[in-house]
Amino acid sequence: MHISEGVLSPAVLYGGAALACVGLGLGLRKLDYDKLMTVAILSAAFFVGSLIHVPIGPANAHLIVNGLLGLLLGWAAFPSIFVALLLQAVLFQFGGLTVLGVNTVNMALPAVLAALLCRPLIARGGKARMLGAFLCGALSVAGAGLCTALALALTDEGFVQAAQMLLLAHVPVMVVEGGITLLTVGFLAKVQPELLHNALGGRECA
Amino acid sequence: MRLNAMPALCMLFLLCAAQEAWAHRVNIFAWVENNVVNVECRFSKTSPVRSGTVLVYDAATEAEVTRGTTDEQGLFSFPVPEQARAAGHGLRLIIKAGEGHQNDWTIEAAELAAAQPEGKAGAEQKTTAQPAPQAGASTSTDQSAAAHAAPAPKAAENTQPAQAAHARTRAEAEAAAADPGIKEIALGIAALFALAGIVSLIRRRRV
Repeated sequence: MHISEGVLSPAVLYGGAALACVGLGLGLRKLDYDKLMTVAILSAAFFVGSLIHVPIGPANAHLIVNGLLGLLLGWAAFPSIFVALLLQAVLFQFGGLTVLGVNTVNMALPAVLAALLCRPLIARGGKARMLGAFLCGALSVAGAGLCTALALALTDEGFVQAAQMLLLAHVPVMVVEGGITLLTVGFLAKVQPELLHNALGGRECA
Repeated sequence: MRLNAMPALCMLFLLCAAQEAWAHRVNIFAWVENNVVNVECRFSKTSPVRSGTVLVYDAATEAEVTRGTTDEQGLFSFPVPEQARAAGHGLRLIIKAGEGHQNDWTIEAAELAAAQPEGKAGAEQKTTAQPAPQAGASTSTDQSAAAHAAPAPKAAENTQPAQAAHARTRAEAEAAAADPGIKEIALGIAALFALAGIVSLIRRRRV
């Protein structure tokens, strides 16, 4: 899901950087600075998650864990994902510095939107909570695939073809990440409901 | 500020699972042997790029020389372009592995010049090299013919330095393609916590 250096046109790179700046601004404004260590832990999970390979026939894909960050951090997922991507670019040569803005938007924006969409469902509790958590994880990956396809399409590749390829390649990742988000939310609801309560914006989680 | 158990457990799980890590970047390495340019493309040591598109450009003029597709082993080969060698230009190779994955490799003009044409064997392509659109359909054929017509081994004295240079660049390429080690992972995690700590400290002093 990391777009490499030299692939995108300058217009897409500038557009991505501008959107990332807006997201970072919103994220830093809404960030709860008393919970910076939680943000750092989740950012570290994202940083390491992309090293875990999910075999898909002859191809490969990696975990993203952006859904979990979107759900637990909200807009603060932007700075969290940005810093993790920056470190991945510097230490692992994944993606790159010029595409940092685009990659941040591709992974953070769908995560935030999926979380906003699924939070009411999760707040209902019971089976709805499980379904909402699963959907949040899966939709975040699907959204990241669509955003990546859109960035590629705006440069030179056809959107439909790129989107089909990316979505098909990431169906197993969507299932795995949906499962991870579901298990995490279920566990949090039992052992640390206040964390989930805060993540849901004060909504009750039955 | 309180550490939450679940995210910490998640991170521990991810860190342990990362032993099965692979690099999510595409790597390309190319070398010249028997008048053939060999290209090897991999995501990691154990994951070749299958059906990736390799574009070959003249490094000086940026004109497309040829293009082709990697095989199941992530390999693609083509004869040394006589035009580039005669002009004293190097080659720039770009691998496009899909989903926005791309990387490049440059073969210096000196490496092309030192290549040892060995008749027919060197001119055959391992995979389906296609001529560049603007170069016309005869490009590959012309290159093959040129390679066939190339003189027999005449500079055996150049073989050893060329092999040494190849081994050196290959070692460099393999080092660059190596999966992230525990050192890089630990450094990244430490940087994240250090950043969080510094920001917390600054905020606390302001209050």
